[in-house]
Amino acid sequence: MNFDFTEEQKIFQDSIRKFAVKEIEPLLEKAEQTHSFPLELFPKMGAQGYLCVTYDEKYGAAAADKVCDAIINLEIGRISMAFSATLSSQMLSTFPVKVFGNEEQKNKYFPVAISGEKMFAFGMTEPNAGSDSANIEMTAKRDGDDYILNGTKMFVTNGPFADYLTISASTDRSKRIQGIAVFIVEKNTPGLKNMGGLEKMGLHPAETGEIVFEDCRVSKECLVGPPEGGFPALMEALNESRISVAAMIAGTAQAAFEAAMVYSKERFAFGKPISKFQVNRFKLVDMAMMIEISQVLVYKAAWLCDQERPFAKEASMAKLFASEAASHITGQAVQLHGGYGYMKEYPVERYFRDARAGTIFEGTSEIQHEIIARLIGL
Amino acid sequence: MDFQFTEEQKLFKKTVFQFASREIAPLVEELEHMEDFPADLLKRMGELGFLGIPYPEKYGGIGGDGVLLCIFLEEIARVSVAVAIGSVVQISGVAAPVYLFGTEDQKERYLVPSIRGEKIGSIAMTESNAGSDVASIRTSARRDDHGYLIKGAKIFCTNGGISDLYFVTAVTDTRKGIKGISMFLVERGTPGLMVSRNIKKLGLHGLGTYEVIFDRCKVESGSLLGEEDKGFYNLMKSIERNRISVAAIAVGLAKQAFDDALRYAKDRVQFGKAIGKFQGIQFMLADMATEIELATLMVYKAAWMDDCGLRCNKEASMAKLYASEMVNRVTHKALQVYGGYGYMMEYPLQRYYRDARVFEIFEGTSEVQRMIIGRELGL
Repeated sequence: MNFDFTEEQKIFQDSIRKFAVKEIEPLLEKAEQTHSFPLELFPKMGAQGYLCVTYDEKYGAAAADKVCDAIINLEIGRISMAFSATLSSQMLSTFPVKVFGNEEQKNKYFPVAISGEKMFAFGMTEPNAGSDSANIEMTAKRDGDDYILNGTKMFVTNGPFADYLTISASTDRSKRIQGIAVFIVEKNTPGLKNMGGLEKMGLHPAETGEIVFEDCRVSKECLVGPPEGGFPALMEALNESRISVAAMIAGTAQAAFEAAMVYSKERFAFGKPISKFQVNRFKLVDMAMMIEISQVLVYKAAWLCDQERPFAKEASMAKLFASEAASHITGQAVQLHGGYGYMKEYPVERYFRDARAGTIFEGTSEIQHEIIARLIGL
Repeated sequence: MDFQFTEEQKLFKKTVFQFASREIAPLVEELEHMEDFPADLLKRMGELGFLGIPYPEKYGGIGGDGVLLCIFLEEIARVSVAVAIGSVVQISGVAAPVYLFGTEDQKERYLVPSIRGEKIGSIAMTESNAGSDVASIRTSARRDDHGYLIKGAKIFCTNGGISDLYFVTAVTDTRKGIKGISMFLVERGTPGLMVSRNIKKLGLHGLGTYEVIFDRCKVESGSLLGEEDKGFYNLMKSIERNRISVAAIAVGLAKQAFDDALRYAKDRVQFGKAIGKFQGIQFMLADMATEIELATLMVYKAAWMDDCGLRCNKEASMAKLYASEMVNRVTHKALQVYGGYGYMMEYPLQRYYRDARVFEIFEGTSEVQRMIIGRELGL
C-alpha cells in the first residue's frame, strides 16, 4: 500500500495550487457579481495543460493520470466549485469522442478542447428527463446525409457560451435507451436557439443554459459513434467525471473548513476564542474527518481508474459521500461564523449555496445510491 | 499511490480467514455464554505466530507491520469481535509497552512468552474514577526497600481473570500530576494482587472484564517498566497504534454485518419480491457499503503512515472515531434489514449490534478522539 502522491503528482499539486491563487482567485469576485464566467481562463488553463489533462499527448494534452485530474479539480474547487464545474465540462463533453469517436473527430475536437481555444458544453438533461436520462424526448431524424434535431436541453453547463454542444438525442424512440445517439453541434448551426442563462441559487459564475433545437440540421459527421447505442458512452463519460466532481466538491468543503478554522480562532465570545468551546471544536473535528475520508476515497477511485480496473462503485461512493459531507460541512461553517456567516462579505455563504448543488448535479445522491446498490449486487 | 494489498498480504489474509472459520467460528456460540476468553485459543494463536505479528523474529515474532496486524484483526473480527479484542490485548496491551520500553531482561521474561501465547497479559489502567481522564488515577506505587508498594483498584481489566501478567499504571509522585505516573508489570500470584469480580457487559460476552485490586502489593524494582515518572508519555505512545487496531476490528465487524444483511436482503421475500429490490433497503445497503469503504481506507492509511514512521496521531484518531461510529450505524441497519429475526438470539445480528456499542467507548471514547484530533488541528 502507498497513500502518498508520486513526485510528479506532488509537482502537479504544487503548480495548480499556485496557478489557482494567482490566476483564478482574482477573477472570482467579478464572476460572482456578474454571474458570468471569465472566458479568458479557458486558454490560460489550456496553455498550462490543465484542460482534459488525461488525454493523449499527440493532441497536445498533458497525458497525466486521473489522480492529477482529481488534484486539479480539488484545488480549483477550493477557490470556486463553479469554476471547477465549468472548466471540467471541457473533458466531460469531449469524453464520448474518446470512447468511440473516429480519428477525424478526435483531431477536430481534442486539440481545441485541450488548448481552450474552443469551449464545450454537455447537454443530456431535458425538462422532463433529469435522473431518468434514458427517457429523453429529443429526436434526431435521419435525412439523407444529415440529421434533423428537435427538442430542448436543460441545465446545460457552459450552454450560454459554448462553441460546441455535446448532446444526446434519440434516433429511434421506440427503442428507448438503445435508440440514443450522441452528437456534437456547433453553436451557430441554424435551428439551434440559445435561450440564455438560468438564474441559480449558487454556482453563479457557472453559466447554465437552456438550448432549444428546432429542425436543426446537422451533417452525419456530427454523430459521435453509432446512430444507436450511444448511451453507454455517455455513462462512461459520467463515470469518470464523477471522480472529478467528487474532487471539486471535496475542495469546496475544504475551503469552508479552512475559513471556519481561521474565524473560530479569531472570534472572541464569552472572553475566549469560540474555538475553545468544545462544542465548536468537535464541529471542526468532524468537518476535518469527513474531508479527510472524502479525499482518500476520491483518490482511490482515481487510482483504480488509472489502473484500468472497475471504479464505478468507488466513484459513486466518493461522489455520494463527498457531496453529502460538503452540504453538512458548509452548513456548519456558516453556523460557526454566526451572523457573519449569513453575510455576503464572508465566503462561507457562497460555499454553502454552491455545495447544495453537489448532491444534485452529475447524478443526484439518489442516483448514486441506485448505482452503488446495483454494483453490490442488488 | 497504491491502494492494494501485496500478494503476501493477500495470502496472509486468506490464512487468517481459514483459521478463523475453522478454529474460532465453532467456538462463538459457547463464548457467548462463557463471559471469559478461552486461554487455549491464545496458546494456539501463539503457535501459529499470530501473536507476534508486529514484533521482530528475535523475540519469536514474524516481523510484520501495522498493515498486517490490521488484516489479521479485521478477519478475526468478522467471526468474533471478542476474540479479536482478546487477541489485541495480548498482542498490544502488554507486549507493546514491554517491546517499546522494556529492558532486554523484561523482553525475555515477558515479551517472548506472550508472543508464544504462554503468558497472558492484561491492562490494568482504568479506575472507577479515572476513565477518559487517564491521568487522574489514584493507584499509587510507593518506594519501599528494593521495590514498590502498589495500592489501589483497577476496573475494566480485559482478560484479567486469565492473566499471568498485569500491566499497571500507578502514581509514583503525587506532586507531579501527569508527570508522576509510572508503568509496572505485576505477575499473578504476587501477594496483595487480587483478581476480584468479573463485571458483566452488554456485549463482548466472549471476554472477561475484571476488577483487580492491589492491596499493599509488593513488587521488586525490576517490575518498573520504562523510566519512573515517564509512564504517561510512554503509555500514550504505546496505545497510539491500538486505536488503529480497534478501528480495524470495527471494520471487520461492519463487513460481516453488511455481508449477512446483503445475503438476507437477496433471499428474504416480502410483498412478492426480494426485499433487496425495495429502494428503502437498497439505499441502506448502499450507505453501509460506502461507509465501510471509507472506514477501511482510513484505517489502512493510518496503519501505512505508522509503518512509514510518519506522525499519524490525527489519522489514527480519525480512523478510530469514524470506524467506531460507522460500525454502530452499520450494525443498526443490518439488524433492521433482518427485521424481527435480527432481534432474536438465534441470529448473530443482535450480537453484532451489542458488540458494536463498545467501540465508541473503549480505547478512548469518541469524545476523547475528538479532543485529540482537535489538538492536532491546532485548536
